[in-house]
Amino acid sequence: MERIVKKIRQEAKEKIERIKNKEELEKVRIEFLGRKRGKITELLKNITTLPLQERPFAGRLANEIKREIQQLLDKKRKEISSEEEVEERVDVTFPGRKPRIGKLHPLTQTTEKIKRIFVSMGFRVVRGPEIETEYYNFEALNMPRYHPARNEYDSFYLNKGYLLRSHTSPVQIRVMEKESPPIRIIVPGRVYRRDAIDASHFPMFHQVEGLAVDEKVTFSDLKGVLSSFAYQMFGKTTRLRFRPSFFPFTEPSLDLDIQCVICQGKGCKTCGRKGWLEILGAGMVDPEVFKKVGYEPEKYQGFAFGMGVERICMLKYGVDDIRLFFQNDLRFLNQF
Amino acid sequence: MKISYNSLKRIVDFPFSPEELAERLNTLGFEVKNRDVFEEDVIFDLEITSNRGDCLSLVGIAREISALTGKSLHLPCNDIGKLEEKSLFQIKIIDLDLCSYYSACLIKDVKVAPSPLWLQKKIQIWGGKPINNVVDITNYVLWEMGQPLHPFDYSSLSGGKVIVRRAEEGEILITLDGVERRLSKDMLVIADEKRAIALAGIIGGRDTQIQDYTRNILIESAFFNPVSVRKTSQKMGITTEASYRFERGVDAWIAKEALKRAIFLLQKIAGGKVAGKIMEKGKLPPKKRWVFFRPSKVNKIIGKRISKSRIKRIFHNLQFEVEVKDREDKWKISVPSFRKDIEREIDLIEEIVRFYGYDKIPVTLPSLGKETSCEDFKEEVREKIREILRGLGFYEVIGISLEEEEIFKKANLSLSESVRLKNPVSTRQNLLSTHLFPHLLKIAFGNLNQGIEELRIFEMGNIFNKKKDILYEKISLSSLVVEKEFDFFSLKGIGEVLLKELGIEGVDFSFGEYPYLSLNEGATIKKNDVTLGLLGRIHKKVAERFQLPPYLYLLEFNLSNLFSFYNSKKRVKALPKFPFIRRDLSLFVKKEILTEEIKKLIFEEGEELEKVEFFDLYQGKPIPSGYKSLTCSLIFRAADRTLKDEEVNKIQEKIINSLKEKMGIYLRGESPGV
Ligand SMILES: [Zn+2]
Repeated sequence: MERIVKKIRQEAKEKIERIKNKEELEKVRIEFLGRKRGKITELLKNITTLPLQERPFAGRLANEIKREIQQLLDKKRKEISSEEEVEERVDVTFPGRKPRIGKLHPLTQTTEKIKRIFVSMGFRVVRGPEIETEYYNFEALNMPRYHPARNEYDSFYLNKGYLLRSHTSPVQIRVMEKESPPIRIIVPGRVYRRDAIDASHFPMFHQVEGLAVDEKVTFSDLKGVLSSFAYQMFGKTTRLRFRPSFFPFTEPSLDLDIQCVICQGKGCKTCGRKGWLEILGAGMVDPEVFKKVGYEPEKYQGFAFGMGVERICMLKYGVDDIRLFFQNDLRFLNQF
Repeated sequence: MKISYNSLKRIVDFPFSPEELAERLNTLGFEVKNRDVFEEDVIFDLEITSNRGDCLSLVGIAREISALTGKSLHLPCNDIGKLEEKSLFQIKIIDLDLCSYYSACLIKDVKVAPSPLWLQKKIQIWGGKPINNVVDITNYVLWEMGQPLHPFDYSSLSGGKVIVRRAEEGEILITLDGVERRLSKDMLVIADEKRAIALAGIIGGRDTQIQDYTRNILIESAFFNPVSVRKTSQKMGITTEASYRFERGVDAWIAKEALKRAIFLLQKIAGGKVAGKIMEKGKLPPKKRWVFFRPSKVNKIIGKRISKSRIKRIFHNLQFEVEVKDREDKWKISVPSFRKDIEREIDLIEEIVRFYGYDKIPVTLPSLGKETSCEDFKEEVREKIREILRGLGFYEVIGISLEEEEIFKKANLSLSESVRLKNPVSTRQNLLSTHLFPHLLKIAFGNLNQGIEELRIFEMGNIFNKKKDILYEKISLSSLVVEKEFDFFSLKGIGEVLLKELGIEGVDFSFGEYPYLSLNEGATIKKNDVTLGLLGRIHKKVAERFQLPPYLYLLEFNLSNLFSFYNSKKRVKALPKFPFIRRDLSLFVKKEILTEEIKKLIFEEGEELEKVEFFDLYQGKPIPSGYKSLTCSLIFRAADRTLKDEEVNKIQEKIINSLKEKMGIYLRGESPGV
């Protein structure tokens, strides 16, 4: 018995060694382990013909060799399959199976970018309600009733004097009423105006408002913060222009232009042949506003700014129609 | 407002080319919107901010250029010589609060005719339409000097009297545009003895307008109350060149000067003769007012030291007088009446920076000081939710929060709590959204129409409703899945992942009925009896109405409530030291028994039980009716030792018995586990 086992072991080792592919492997497997005429199977069957006292030993021997051959075969199988993988190259140009991933809306992406820039300069994010009162939307911002500046803020009215805020500036007031300086906030959010829909107007859009108040915040600080923002948003080499402007709640006020991203200042359709694109309005908080919230105007000073997210996004990505943002066509959203 | 380069240069002799001038105008705060070449001239279209009513004229802009360059002004000629001291008509101001000054002059023997070419051109440059010499002259003077004038046909005035009064309630005036207007008593009119002949400061009446045959004209030059003009103009829905200027404040002192200029031109062009003197009524405001000013404040606000001599020069060029007391930091500045925008020290500081140059102010960053930039955790939650959903394949969408009634009906939503706009632009957008999902359905439809077969979208936005006349605003998160191989439990899984990531645990899902969700597949999500949200399959009818396929799933959260349960204070637990033993049980369960109940019972009975998970829920053949089959895997682990198989066998036995006795649940064949 021992002799036979030894012989089979030797034979199996040699044969397994010479195996080159799956077919050969299967042949060798059947030769030794095949259920019907495999050499080991035969061997096990023969055990029953042995004298009773030899059977346990023979059985153990047979099982050992069976296991051994199985292991050798497994090992060889692994070798073969790894070799075969190398032999048959996959077509790497065939498209991959893509896992699903979504997209954030371009306006969110833009808002987030604006947020990050200002947060890095020590601003914190605050939000406010979209349903506002005339007081917060206008009066506290130094725009009494029948102020001509209200022309630019044509609002949707609800019952009882409530309205949909036409800018995010009311949140300045809400924060200053609750907190005392130093304050450094930005306020992203939706605003509403009674504009007829066209390529550059939509009755709802998004703004980001900013406010910094302390004892020594200056106009030059405002220029610094806005320049830093514009460079981070539109690139280091962007040319900037600060122009005097007017807002009832800031004095002095300014508009910030960047050199047209399309024509580099030569003048084109996008910039209306001006060569410059307005990106935001800002100014030093008007003392009247401080009075409204109970701040001592001689003690505190600060700046506020506001920008349209749609406009920034349109300029940054070359979107020429504001309506695209609200159609939410996946083919559009996918491009951001 | 349109300004001609050549005309401007005649008033102030500046040394700038058209390009340079455009640049200077921009730096002064008059944005050049457009620049056109017109014959030998260049026409600038300027944006004039609403505080600068004084710059709505050629002279106004010239004054700014003069202040910038220090060059003197050459005002248009209005030398009409000495007039006869006769008064042929009367002015009576009844409502002085709405009209503090009124002047007028009678001109006889005017020949109404088309204007000479040069004047027609000026009118065209300005953007107007030449009508006849009289009207053109008044328009020209308005453009030149900023004072609105109005000519009446004197012969059609009755009584030789001009009365400035409030309208009677219901009084009728047919205005120049041919519209019959019903006036109310808060509106100011110009009237003769019988009737209103003009809406003061806004538009004239048709009956007294200049006709081809008009011979004698009365020209009005007055100062009307800005708020009153604005109110009336808004109420009547008319904005004119005149009302636009009165609203923004015209200098009362210029009224007479402008009238003289018009007379001068009428005499020259239309052959008119002045009859009597210029009649005036009312009071002119002080010619200048005093504002206190501290030079030190400039540096404090601006962050740049500007020398006192520079400041004085800027004021001087602006025609502001400076009174300096000794060497004190307190100056008195006189501001001429035409600068209505300057009332306070801060307004003077603005003038200094504007003329000093915004570009010459340094760029600095505010020191951080004591400010603590404490990030709002709600922003963190918003960002987190967006990122999770994005990772799960959702596209974020943004829809408009204004809706039409039709959408409410289609979505099975009630209108009773909706908030209505009082002044919508169109009936297609006259209600505020009470739910976000109708947008999402519309957006899904739009995309499916473009050939996309499946999609996942979400929106985060405010929704509005009204209860007992009180308005409420909530932040909502709505997500929609359109996918064939999707079901209620895929949706629930998304909800569970989201909640887990936000650290919100111990959440209950219970059956929930919503008019827009399928009756069998709708659920409410709660924690401690606070409703966090809902989920389910969109009602078949709703899906149909939006022309969407039936495999349509909605998951919504009330974001404000998520905020309140958000847990950012996660603490790490030590990893278990001992191995686990897993046992899987396949169960036959009566249909009405809820998985959550089974889970509860298993936990009650199972010691050393770490986790129970359910999967493979199945109903239908070959499971006998009235039953469902499900599989649960039990993970056993002790904190202090390695569990033995025999130990777990005993616990498992106990669980199985209890399930049998208490719930009539039996095993589908014994599964001894791994
Ligand atoms: Zn351009």
